[in-house]
Amino acid sequence: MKAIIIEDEAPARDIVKSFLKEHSDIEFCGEFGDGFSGIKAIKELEPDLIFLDVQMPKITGFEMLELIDNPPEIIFTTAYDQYAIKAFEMNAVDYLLKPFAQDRFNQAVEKAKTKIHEQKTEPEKIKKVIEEIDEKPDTIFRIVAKKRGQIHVIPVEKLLFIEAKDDYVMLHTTDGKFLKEKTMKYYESHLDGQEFVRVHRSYIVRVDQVKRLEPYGKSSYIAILSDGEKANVSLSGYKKLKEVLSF
Amino acid sequence: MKHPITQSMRGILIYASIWGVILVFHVLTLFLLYKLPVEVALTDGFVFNIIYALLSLALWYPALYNDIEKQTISNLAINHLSIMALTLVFWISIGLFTTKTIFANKELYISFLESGLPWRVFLGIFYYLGTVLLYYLTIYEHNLKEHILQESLLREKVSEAELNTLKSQINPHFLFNSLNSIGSLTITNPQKAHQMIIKLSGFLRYSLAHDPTKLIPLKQEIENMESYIAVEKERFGDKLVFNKEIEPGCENINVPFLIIQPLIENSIKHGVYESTGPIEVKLSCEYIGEESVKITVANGFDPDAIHRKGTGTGLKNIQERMKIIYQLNDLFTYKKYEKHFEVSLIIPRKAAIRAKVLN
Repeated sequence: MKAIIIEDEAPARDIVKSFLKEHSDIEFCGEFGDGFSGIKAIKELEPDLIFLDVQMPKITGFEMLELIDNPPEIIFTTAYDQYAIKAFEMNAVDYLLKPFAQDRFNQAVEKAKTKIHEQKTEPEKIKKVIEEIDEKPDTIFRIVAKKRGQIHVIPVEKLLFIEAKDDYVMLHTTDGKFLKEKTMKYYESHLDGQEFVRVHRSYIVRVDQVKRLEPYGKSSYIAILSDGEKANVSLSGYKKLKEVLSF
Repeated sequence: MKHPITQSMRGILIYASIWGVILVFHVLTLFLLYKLPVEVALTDGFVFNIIYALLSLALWYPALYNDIEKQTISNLAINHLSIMALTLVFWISIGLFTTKTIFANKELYISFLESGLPWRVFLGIFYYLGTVLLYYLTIYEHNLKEHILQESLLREKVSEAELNTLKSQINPHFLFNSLNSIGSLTITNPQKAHQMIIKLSGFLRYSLAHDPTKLIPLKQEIENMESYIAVEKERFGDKLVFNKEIEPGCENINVPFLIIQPLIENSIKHGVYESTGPIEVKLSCEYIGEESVKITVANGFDPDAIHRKGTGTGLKNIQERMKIIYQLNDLFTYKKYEKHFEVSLIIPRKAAIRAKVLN
């Protein structure tokens, strides 16, 4: 069983390394100081378990996980208690609040071992619980996305509109299009409602990108966006737009 | 400020009833003392009192624009005397014209009108003074209320700023991450752990013990800030590069308590936390002129890092405190360059108003 540490503070890495000595069945494969090198390491070393910090330079531990297709088991280590819900949303094995004791650490590691051996996960059930708790989500200010092996960190200011594509969403930005495995609902609730409006089941648009609205059929519209792209607007979407733009 | 009478129905009713009482006295006097016929007494009363009641409404404006506190007595007297003269001329001439037109054939009444002129002038002056006095009282009451409101707002701001200072003194994440580092060092390097505990304790003691409203020598502020840096340095290693440049003599100036460390903390948060490479944080203090000292905290940052636009509460807090302590704007400035960020404080040698503000 292989483990790595992704954490930006050296002493915090040292304590995990030191605690790991009690677990001879875990092979320690390396430590990394930020999310980007973490992604690379996961690809190359294929660890079974990651000790992951949340607050790191450039991209957070959460954002890093979004960029990995089949993430290994995760034990979060952080001084921030407000991320616990999000961590379990990410199917983390455990959430260690710094500073933590060897006993508590061992508990988390044992949980990870069981999980790895049994390969038993119930992500759907947990996700549902989480969605109910997460009533007032934080507004996001950047989006991480991968395209042709390259990682892009895109500020929300560059996002033009979002289009639903089956189980994915297509993010249209000034830097190009990016496909992400997220739901429309996620973006609807995590983007600033004054800037972005869900105008249709399949479209979220940045309101200042809407150049004009053209009637389409009996009770719906088509929004013409400033780059010439079109987005369907349902009747309820039209009402929401009307409210935000107050026309 | 709105007209106190016409702004509400209630005001109009009260005003009308006051003039109603005056009207009754007026008519009774003419009827009982001067033995005027009832219809003449009534007409006289209505004409003269209604005209004055309307004129009095307009007197609000001269009262409003002739501020007692801002004008000299002589100016005030001249203004009011001329407005009063105008009011009287206007009132008596319209009144006389109307009553004379109505009772053109009643010579007895007309001669009564003419002989009674001095009395009317006296009455007019009396009404004028009464009205203007009432208006001034209203204005005074309004200003007083406003003043009390302003004062309580200011007080609220001061205590809010103080509270924020207290709250922001120790960032819990800093504290827990530091404790985690110390925990780690106790295993890997106990000697260093001990040193770090000393530094952290020094910083905590300083932050908790001092009165946030006090001024303190810059030297002590710098010492405390260095304890803080030492702790952060242990966490971030070579990523944090700290330099200082202090012009000799500056250390002795008094500065607001715990004003340097939050600036450094802000620099570390936006520079070091968000970067993967080394970031320089630099403190410089220099004299500007003989009276003031300029303190600058500059930090590099990674221009590629996209971070949440800070709420700016940390810096705003400092700005507010500077404003409250020195009663001067523009002592706090900040500027973002392409690759570095800079905050400057100008510390006047004298915070003369501080005793007043801080007690």
